[in-house]
Amino acid sequence: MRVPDTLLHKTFMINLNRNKRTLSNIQTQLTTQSRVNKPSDNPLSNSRIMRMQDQLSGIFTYKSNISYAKSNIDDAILSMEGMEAEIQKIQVQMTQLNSAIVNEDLSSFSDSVDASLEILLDLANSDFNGSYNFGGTDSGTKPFYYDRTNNRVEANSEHLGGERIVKISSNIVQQYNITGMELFQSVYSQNGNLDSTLGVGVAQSTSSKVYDSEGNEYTLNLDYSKTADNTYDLEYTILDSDSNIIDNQTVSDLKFNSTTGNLESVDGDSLSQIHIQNTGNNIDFVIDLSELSEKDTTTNLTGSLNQKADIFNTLIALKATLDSGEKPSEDQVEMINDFHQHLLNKLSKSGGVSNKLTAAEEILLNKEFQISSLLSSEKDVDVAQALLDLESAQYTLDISYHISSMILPKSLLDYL
Amino acid sequence: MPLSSVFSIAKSSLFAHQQALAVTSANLANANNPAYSRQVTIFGTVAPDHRGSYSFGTGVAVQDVVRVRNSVTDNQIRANNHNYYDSEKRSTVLSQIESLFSEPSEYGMSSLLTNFFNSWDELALDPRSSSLRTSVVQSAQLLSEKVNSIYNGISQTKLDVFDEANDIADKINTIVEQLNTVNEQIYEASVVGNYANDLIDNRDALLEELSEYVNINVTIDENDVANVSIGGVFAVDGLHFKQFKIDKDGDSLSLVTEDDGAKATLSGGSMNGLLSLYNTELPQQLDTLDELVVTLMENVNAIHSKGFSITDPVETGIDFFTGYEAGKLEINEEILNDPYYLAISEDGTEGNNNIALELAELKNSELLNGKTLGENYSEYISDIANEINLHQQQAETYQLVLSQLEQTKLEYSGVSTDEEMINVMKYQSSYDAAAKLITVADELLQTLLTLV
Repeated sequence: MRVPDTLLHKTFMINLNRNKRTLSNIQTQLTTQSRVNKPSDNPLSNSRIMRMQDQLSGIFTYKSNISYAKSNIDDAILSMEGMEAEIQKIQVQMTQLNSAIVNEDLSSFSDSVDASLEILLDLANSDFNGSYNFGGTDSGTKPFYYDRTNNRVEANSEHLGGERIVKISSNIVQQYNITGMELFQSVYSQNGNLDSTLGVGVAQSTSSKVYDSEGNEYTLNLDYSKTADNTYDLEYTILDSDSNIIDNQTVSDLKFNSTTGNLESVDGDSLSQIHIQNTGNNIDFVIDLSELSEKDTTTNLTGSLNQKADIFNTLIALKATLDSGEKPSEDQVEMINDFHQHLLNKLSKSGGVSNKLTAAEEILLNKEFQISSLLSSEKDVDVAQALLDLESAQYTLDISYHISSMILPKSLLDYL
Repeated sequence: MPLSSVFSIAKSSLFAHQQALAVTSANLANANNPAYSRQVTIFGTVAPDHRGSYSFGTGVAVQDVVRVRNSVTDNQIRANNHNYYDSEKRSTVLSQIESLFSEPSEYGMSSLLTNFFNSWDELALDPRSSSLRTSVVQSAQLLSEKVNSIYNGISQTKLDVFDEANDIADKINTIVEQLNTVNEQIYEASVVGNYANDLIDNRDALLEELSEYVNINVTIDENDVANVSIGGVFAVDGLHFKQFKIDKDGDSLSLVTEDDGAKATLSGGSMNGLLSLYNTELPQQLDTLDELVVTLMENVNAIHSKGFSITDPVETGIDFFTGYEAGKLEINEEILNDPYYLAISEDGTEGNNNIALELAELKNSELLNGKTLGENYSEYISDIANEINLHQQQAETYQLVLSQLEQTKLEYSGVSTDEEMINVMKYQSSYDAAAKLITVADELLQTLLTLV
């Protein structure tokens, strides 16, 4: 084999460049602390890294969501605990009213109820970070206001029942508010189904009991008349104990989805609650139609009332009773006791949500740790190994330079 | 045999070795000339003098100066040049494209797309928050800018590829013209029996350079004239040559002859890499990017337009993105000016976040080819990365083969200083011996003259 000088130089340069390229790769990895600095370094790893970074980014968002939602629900819990204290105070006072020694002076109790009403109203209008805790999805509007002229507490919005939903993982959404409607308002939930096979004009009816703020009983008749396919009119009638009609209205166009059978709109509005107020009789309740559906099976309408009347107007009625020198009726005592139980149930529900959020946060923390570890093993440089490789590559390069300085300049000319 | 013949024999030796020294000198002088092939002096005896039954040698002469070259290796080098420079060009350009995506990093489109969807999730938490609404708009702007920068980057690369293809066409024309000139010179030297070794070296160097740009077919005729075709189209022979140009037909480039527009069917060389990138790979990448962005825009708009803003009065039917064209993903001006135009409420109330949640859920929705946008994007990047790796590996393989062929060529044709110095010493000795012979002959002649 002939070995011309150019071959010697060329071979040396090829090997030298190879050594330098190795050295450069190790240096890049060491300085960036990453084995994958561009997709073509390792397409498979790059794909995994992008997916894991995406997952981590999602986890950071969910953690942030949980933190906010937890603070929000905890603030609502604080407000409800304050309400619970006030309700307990009223219950104690009502127990004291049964004592003979307080018979002569009911006005101080009336004042106390008034003060409790103010506090309850203030707590019902409490806000967190600018959003009213019990405002439903109308979180920018104060949920309740005291109409002192008519001596009534009114709901300020039709959206007190709006649920605030947060995503706490890629597959879990969680409601993180207690709605003003479910906590304070009297809600008649209409469940079951209408029979879609019945013809136009046929009515499907149901009946239930509703109450005024003093606990008096009324009959609520609901008649659904089919006006077209998947469309009904709802006529509601409220009758007093003597069967006198005290209210009668019709709500048009309850539209159901032809495929799912779910209620889509009421009179063109996506809101599925009908707020019924009869101020003359102190009747104030909501008909919630969100669970009502239409199916091709026999009509099966059921319903339930969460509480007889809203606590504010119950307390206003209680105060009026006290101001008139009478002791609270049994119905009024029962309604306040019922609200107390209702409040405790909502507190328990809120505590459950808070615990669930805490648990979800811990799961996310574990997941974050696992993915971060995987990401590190996929991406990060083993510094010790890289330093050893660097030493080795540097050593090889040094030898190459040394050898070249010894060999390359030599030729026969040096010895002639 | 007369004594004077000793002089003529010595003289032939002096001349022959002087010529051999000249060849060796040329070899030494060109030791670092990569195009040069070493030359070897071939000595031959001069026709003998027949006297009776005896024959007497009459001296030495240089019969030939041979150019040491293996044409098989040359052909192999040219064939590998086609493959190497094709792959090398593709991997270089695609690496430039790859860098546009800034992956895997927080500035990459993958992160920006995720941030965009996450920002809806965050806004869902507090739909009235001005800062969270602004955050959605900003994340959309960052995404839009990234899309624009990638699109512009690929488009600019296409323009650069077009410019480079034109530059290479000019180089091809220059080489073809030079080949034509060298062919003529070789022919002229050949027909009068002159050595054309240096011209042939020059010609082979030009052919090797040409094979870096395009796939060529070379045949050498009996006069050492090279007939060359480029991608099946005649380029040069001993008498004629053609000039080439880049022809742009719509959005497709091809290499054609200037006079009659004959299209070269390229299969190798950097020109083939460039044209393939311009005609196929880069448009495909732009199409994929467009498809991703349009899918994103349409799906976001379909959901967003259902929602209600929290402006006064409340508005609905608002598109989040107002258009996408030539890499520009336009965000609704009204939203940019007032983030309260973000329509994330399903029922018009300020606290309703259903639309935001629906938009955030797009991250996990299979919107394109049965996969999520993130998965589609990841596949897009992986395809580019795999393509680069493929071409890099091919280029490295061909480079290895090329360096081995180069070694083979150098082993055979390269100048060895040691070898040439030995030749110098050898020729010097022979020259000295011839000179000494003249001295001896002279002394013999003087001896004879003293007898007279």
